[in-house]
Amino acid sequence: MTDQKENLEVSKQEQEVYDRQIRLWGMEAQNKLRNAKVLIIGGTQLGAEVAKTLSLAGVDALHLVDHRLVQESEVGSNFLLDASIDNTKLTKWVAARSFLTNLNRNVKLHIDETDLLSKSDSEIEAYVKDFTIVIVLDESYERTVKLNELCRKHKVRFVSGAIFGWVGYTFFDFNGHSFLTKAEESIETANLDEESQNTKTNKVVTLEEDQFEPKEYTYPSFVEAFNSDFSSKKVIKKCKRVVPTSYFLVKTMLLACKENKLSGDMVKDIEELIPIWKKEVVAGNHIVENQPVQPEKFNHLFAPEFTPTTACIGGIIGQESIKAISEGKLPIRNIFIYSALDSTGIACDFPLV
Amino acid sequence: MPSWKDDYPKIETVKLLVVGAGGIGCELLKNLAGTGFRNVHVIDLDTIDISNLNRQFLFRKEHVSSSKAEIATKIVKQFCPNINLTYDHDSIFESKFGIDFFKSFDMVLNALDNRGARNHVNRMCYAANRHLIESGSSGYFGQVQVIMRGKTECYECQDKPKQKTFPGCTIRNTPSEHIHCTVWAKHVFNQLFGEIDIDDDVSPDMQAVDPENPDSSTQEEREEEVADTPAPVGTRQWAESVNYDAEKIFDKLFTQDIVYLCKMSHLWKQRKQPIPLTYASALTQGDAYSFQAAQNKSTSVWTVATCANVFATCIKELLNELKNNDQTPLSFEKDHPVIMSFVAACANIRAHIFSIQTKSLFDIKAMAGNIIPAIASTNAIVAGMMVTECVKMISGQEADAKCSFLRNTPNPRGKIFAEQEPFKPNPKCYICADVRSVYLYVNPDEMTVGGLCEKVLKQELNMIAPDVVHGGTFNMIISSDPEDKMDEMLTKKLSEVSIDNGAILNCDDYMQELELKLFIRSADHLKGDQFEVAREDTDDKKKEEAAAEVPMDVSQEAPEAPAEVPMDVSQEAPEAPEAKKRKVEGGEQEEEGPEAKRLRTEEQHPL
Repeated sequence: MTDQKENLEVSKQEQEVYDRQIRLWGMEAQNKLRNAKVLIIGGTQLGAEVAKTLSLAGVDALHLVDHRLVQESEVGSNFLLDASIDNTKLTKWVAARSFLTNLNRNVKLHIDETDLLSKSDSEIEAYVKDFTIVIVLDESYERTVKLNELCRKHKVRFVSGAIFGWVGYTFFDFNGHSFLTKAEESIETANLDEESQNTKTNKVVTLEEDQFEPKEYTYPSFVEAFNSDFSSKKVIKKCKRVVPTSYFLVKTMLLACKENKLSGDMVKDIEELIPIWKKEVVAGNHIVENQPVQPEKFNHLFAPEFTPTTACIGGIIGQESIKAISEGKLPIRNIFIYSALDSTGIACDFPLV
Repeated sequence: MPSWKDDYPKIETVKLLVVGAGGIGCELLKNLAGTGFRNVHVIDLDTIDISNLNRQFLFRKEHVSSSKAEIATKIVKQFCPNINLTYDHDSIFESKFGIDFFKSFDMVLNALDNRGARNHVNRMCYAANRHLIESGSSGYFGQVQVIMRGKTECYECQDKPKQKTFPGCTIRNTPSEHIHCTVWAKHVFNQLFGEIDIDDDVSPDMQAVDPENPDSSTQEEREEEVADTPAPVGTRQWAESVNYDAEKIFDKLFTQDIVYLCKMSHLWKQRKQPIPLTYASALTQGDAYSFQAAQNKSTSVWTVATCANVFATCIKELLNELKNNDQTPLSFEKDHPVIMSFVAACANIRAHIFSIQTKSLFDIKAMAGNIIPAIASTNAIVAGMMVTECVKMISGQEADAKCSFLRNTPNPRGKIFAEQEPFKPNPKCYICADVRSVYLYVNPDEMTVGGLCEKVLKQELNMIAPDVVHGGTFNMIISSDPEDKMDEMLTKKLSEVSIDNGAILNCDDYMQELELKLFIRSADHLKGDQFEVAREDTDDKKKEEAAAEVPMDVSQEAPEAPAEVPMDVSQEAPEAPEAKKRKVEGGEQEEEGPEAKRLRTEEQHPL
């Protein structure tokens, strides 16, 4: 065991390449990355961003799953695809292989062209249980939920994310994992109470590294997080302050997808979205008329994916995955939403308590 | 309802200029291509280094030493052949990138790593009347600033924090932190092998008054202390006289000079006195690894014996390099293993002598090279935010364009990306205000015209080729045209050409189309070419401040000053700007508070 660990330490030559990031997160974190086995399901534009960040960071292996063929529309916007070849006969990650191989030759690539999430629970379970982290992108609501439950069962770090045109979200579930916490602070869970955080932020002082200690955190599941009850007295007041307006757009898209309301015809789909959205806004104790994004801009929630949104969501997923793998300082809250429509990037801790 | 793409037809037609193809630049070009921009030109003078590869994802190991702009262009076209992407492998300061060049683009996006170039592009965009998006990143922090002439602040509307410098006597006489020893070691390198700068003297400063205890000694006492000791000889002169014998240089720096320092007993009344060290005794302190073996121990702290060994080897190697290059002075280069090892060894020996904790090569390199940590994800996010704002600004939604700050922890409202309305222009800005003035505090009997030109106008005020006319005498003081043969003028003191207290100089930079008035204020305490610049007369300012109500200031402090921010920044970006209080237009409280103005980064300044 000791021998194996030594083999996987960062070499002098790798150290030259990783110099600028080791100076940020330290050698210990780099060694943890060096031993991480990452599973990414979904070879979309968002998948490309995430694979790029984790490959550059220097993880041990990337397992990339997608059974779908490349669409003509992806060529030119997904930077992993070589436009000089016919990509449309290749599955998404196979078409990306050459770029990713060149990106960082220290990273082992494993490409799987099966539809993993259509398999039985026990098959999926056996597949995912030994990964350091599992990342599922642009998948349907049900499949995301199923994978999240299976990962929780085996304490595998879980991340999901999706892009809806100009808006994107990502969700983190690092249930049962440890992060460095300031020794004196008594932060109980990732679910921080807003008021207490207010006071804490003022108290935080410059601490040396040795004043942090690892602490295990509990995280809610995907279903719990996205079905927050906003009706209790305690949270009604909080909603305006804590729930970003972009949350209702994401929730609407997730619900529409869950209830199979999306046909592919954008005009019809927007008609379907409006009542769902209004209901969600009201349930969240917000006012429909005050929402900065009104239905006349709902075309911004549809394809093509807005590349800047992909870059922002992909960047946050990469960065938080690195924090989770390296068990460094506490990651941000469990949901993050970027909306290019109003330039907001807001993290929330759901469900509200 | 049409696709959102149809709402933004200009994406395909506008012409963009991207300045910089590094960390943010690579991500920016990718995002622009992916978003559908079709006409982009990129400029970068740099070549690819191995330490770029962890984030500049368009580059591979085989591209090391190639042009960044060229390779970035080639790789982007591989995945997006429909983009009309062109490049220049050149400096943005080149005269071919004049006002007309900037006018040939609809908008400019900066992905730079130094303030000089940022200032220059800011001026060119102002002169050419083009919108500019400015960016910066450092570790997990990032920033995007939208700049629209007349509508928002320009890049130079607010003073940027000064580079951190240390008093000369701390470096030469009384180091108390390792950084002081590192700065001193870089000076030793320059004294022995580089361009000699009198400000970089490394020998004890016998005139020094203890800055922390200025009253602890009188001039007479200080003279008395060192009366029977000959003043130390210049380092280079000494080294040449002993043919760069490593042991002799070691003993001069670390025995003789230290013995001399110890004699200045007023310095050691409240400090631990340094302990002189000879080369011979250094070699007995711990295992002595060779230069080669020490390279493989870059993250552990070398023993004193290893430092002495490395010191001697490096002197031999550097002397050879000097000889092989026709005695052309070497310049400090953090990625040059011999130079860096020399500085590390030298700094650690001095630290040891002054009882300061020694450090690893890896850590000393960060200090000596001012390395700012950088990761791919931050750059991807910053470049994403830039393109979002760019799309709005070209599509008639200028009023919606926002500045953004990327934080590493959410603020109480959960913001990781803290967006902010751009500030209005500063009426006292010497770049974008109608009347442009700068107050210059100097000692006119000491500063030369050459110093005014190089240190004030070029280095401090970032002019490229200034012309200066005296406002009172109408005499030409400085000319950008070599045919004017003004060389003789450069050695004259300011007072010799009637530049005294109250004088006004009209300065004009043809390339930047920048004219400003320099108001001279005499400050006798300044020596040589020392100077201070200010946007307003400090006398006026003091009066204003005295008149202002005190509580005003307090209320401007943001409610959620994130205490952990300065920690990260000061540790990782040695000269990250300080938090700054700002007045907010319309009296509304600024949400993002002090850290909001923390910009520019990926920046690597020499100490």
